[in-house]
Amino acid sequence: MEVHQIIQAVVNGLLLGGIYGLIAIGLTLPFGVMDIPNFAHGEFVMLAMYPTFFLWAAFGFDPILSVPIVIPLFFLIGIGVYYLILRRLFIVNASPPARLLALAGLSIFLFNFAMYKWGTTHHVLKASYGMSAIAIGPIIIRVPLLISFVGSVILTLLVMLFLNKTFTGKALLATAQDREAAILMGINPWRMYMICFGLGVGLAAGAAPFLCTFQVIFPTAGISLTLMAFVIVILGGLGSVPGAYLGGLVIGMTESVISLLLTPELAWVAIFTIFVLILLYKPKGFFGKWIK
Amino acid sequence: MKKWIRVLISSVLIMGLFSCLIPSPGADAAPKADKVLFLFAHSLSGAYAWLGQRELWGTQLAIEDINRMGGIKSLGGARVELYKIIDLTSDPKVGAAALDAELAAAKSKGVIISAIATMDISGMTGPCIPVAEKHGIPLLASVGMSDLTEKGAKYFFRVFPRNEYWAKAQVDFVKLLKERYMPGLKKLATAYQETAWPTDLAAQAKVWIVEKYKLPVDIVAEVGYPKDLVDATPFITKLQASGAEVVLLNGYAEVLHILRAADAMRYRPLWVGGGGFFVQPEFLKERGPEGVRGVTCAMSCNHRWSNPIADEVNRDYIKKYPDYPFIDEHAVSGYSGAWIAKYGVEIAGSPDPTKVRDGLRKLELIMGPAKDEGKIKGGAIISPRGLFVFPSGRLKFNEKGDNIHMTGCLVQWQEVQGKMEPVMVFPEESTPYKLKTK
Amino acid sequence: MKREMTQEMEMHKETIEKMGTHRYAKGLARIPKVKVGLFILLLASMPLFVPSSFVHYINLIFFFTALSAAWNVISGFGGQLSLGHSAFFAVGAYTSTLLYLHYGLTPWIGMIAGAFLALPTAFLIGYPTFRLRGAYFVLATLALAEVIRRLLVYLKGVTKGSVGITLPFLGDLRVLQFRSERGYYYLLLLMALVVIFVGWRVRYSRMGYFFLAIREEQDAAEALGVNPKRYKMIALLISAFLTAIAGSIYAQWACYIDPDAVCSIELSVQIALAGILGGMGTVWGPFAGATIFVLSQAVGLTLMGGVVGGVYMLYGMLLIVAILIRPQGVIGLLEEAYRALSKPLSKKLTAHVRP
Repeated sequence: MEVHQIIQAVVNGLLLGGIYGLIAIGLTLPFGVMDIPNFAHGEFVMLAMYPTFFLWAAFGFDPILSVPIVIPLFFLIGIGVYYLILRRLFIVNASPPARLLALAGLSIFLFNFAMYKWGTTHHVLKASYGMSAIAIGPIIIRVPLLISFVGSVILTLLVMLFLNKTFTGKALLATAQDREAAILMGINPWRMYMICFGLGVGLAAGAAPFLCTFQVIFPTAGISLTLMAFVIVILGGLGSVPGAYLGGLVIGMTESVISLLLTPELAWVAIFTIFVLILLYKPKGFFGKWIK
Repeated sequence: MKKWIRVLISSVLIMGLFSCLIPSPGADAAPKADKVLFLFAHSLSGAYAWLGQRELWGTQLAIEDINRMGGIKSLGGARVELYKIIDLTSDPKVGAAALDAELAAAKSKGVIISAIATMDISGMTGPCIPVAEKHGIPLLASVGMSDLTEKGAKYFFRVFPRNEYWAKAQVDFVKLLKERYMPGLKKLATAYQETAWPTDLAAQAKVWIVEKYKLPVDIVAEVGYPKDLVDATPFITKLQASGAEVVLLNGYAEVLHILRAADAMRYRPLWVGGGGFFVQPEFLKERGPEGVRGVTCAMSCNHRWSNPIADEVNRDYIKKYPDYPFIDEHAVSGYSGAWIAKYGVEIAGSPDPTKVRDGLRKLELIMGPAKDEGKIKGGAIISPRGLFVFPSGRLKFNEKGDNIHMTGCLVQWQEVQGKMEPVMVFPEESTPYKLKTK
Repeated sequence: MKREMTQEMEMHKETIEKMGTHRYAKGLARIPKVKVGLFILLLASMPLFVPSSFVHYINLIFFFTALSAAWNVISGFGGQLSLGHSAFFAVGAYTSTLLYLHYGLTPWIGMIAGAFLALPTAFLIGYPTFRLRGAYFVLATLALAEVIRRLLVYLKGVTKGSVGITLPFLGDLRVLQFRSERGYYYLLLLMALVVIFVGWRVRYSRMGYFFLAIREEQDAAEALGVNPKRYKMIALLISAFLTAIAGSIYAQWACYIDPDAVCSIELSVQIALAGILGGMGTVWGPFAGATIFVLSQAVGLTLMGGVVGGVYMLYGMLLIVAILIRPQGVIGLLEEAYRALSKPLSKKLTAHVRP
């Protein structure tokens, strides 16, 4: 094992971790604000990959162009899901297990729906830069990974900007911190929840075009992403945006390096073990709750 | 206490309600004496749906051909029909239950099912074997896992080579490479999806290399990757780090993704595929004609070899399913499976499944010209159609349910009639096509 | 034992009544032997008048009933929702299978061995994680079950990894196999009843009261001297033990096990869904949940068998609809339905019970 191979693994893990982090942010927001663990999160990522692919296949749209298209689209879809399912969960005061059941049901429905609608063949989106790479010495940096990383950084910054600088964003944070106080301040918590969930789903969708540039598109693509996102969310601290992003980077690097040094199987054993240790000894994660 | 009554009555009501919705007698027409019924059971939803779909198409095409060519002669030209198409889903517990329910329902209606053809995927077939045993109906499956024929099942017939033979085809090629084309070859790696069949195939390949052939190559890496692979980069990095010059890659759809990632990372060993995805039309679509030219893969069967009916069946298939440029291994095994079952019934002279099972045991198929399909020669039946799935061109089941003449084959993408298609290049005696080296 | 509990009950009666749970007291005082007996008799005679095509599905129902009733002990009664139960299932399945294949040990004994091996597994999982609450605990169980699955894959020398293990089908009772599904019917029915019985005993016992206390108000319970960790651990141990036995039975039933079949997240989720759907923390909830779970798939296959993804789309929608209509679980729905049909008298009796 030479040093440059380890560095290669670290670099790859870091770049990939950016996207993981973006996905995790979409998960941590609804989880932290509304206590909705979105078990269907990965499925929304997967669903967004399809319009991206079709826009590329039919019109030659580069996936990056799809980003500003799928995010608002899925923001609306998220709001739709909120109205159809989540709102009712709140009204009947469903217990956490019940919420879990509803979202698990949604997850099962969505990925089978994708199989039904778009068939079971695998699609590959061949972006113009899909095979390009930049070589720095012996280290090879794949361009699609780089672009994904940059994209994830930009989107994360935009989210943080939104949360901290806009009124709606701040209202959202306020609702998360203290719901009663927020109500007293004139904030409609239900509206905040709706926006929050829409945002979460929108961000998940935002990660999809980037994944398309180096991933095979298939209905079960979302399932493993969900579990990974949960691990990252806890790692970073429930509800913390920077925590989720940094958690993504950490997990990405860990997976990559341990896969290289040992085996991919043990990489996940290691990640889960670390995860459990974090839960036990530092349950607030890196950043605890709601550090802006 | 009231609660118990409530629960009791509600449950009975629910049970009663649902039992009305389950496949009930009378829904299907009464079985006629001039029909022989097969059952098709496979994963038609979930992750393995694409496999099932193709297997079904092959089976349906075969049944059309069987009927067009006179049906079951020993039963006076009785037609073959698919009694039902059962979706086993991709969950083995549900699948086994669904199969059991159908078989039991059929039995209660007095419907005689002569054979179940053809199943696939070891993980799904495994739990279905005891079901077939319980009902006494022969089950044909195109599965590679050796275990399945080692457990004393009496109604199970394998229409694929066992993994040892599949791996042998892979390793024979490596041996050839070492002897003729890459004498300096030292480092080899196996890579596989971490599910039953690809893992077993890789393990069997290792046995051939290390124990049986004692090839002078080092297996420098054995890398498994999870079924839900997100990013292939760490996996490629590992292979790259090992310095393997030849990689035996066994897997499914993610194989595409892995090859892309490898190309992007400038890692270009000689990939020798194991099964499935290397020879699917999607592979061609994704990599383009020049991207697949010369790529080799060890397979169970192929549609281009010296089988006289290969061209005809391929053409029929493409006509029916124009999105698919050629008939793939699953459709081939579905096709052959139905024909083999047909001959089982022929020899049995009866649709009774146990007699069919005995018929299958006695059955021997050999190659001959297409027009001689079904003719008897020296105690064996000439059947290029039944042998479509067997590159050795011969079939005789042993008591375990394996074809004693089983063998894997090696397939290479070559240009045929202006199109890129996978063609069989080994075993040499079975094919007119030769291995092409760039 | 019963007398002891009655005495205990007297002592706690006031507290219990204050908590509005005198329903429990009533349940304990009048064990409805006749009604339950009738119900069991009904189930036992069902193979005689139910179409034989249905038997395998009913077996699946009993199977999942057993699994989710076992799960219910820790997740429902114990209040710690676990999404990692497939780990115990796998321990049972692999232990009895390996002992059988390597040493010829009959699975009847092998399954006890597997169940005992599940105990330290449960201990290792529970001990560090019980201090976690809510979602954190759920994810921890998920993670730990995944660790076990990946270890099962990694240790291929012992477990044959992802290749899995095929078991011979002998149909012989001595190896816990039956020639026909009817045999499994009785075995699985027995298992389901045993687990439900255990659940019932747990709930209506002293331990059950403590569980309730821990579930409703853990800190207060602790202050009163109830040790939450100890009781949760007991619940988990019971749960794991029973789940492992189900695993062994499964191995002999399906004749093929691999890490994906017996230790997957999917299986853990299925068990949990059946439990939640039916009604967590109720005695018969798991049965209702398992019934809906299996029957919806069976019906789905009949209606949408040919449609790709059809069965599970239906199933997913069903889950969502079910939980939106009745988040506390379907068993409550059944009770309400019956209540609506029954005389005003029973309405009076149960009207003032806190839901």
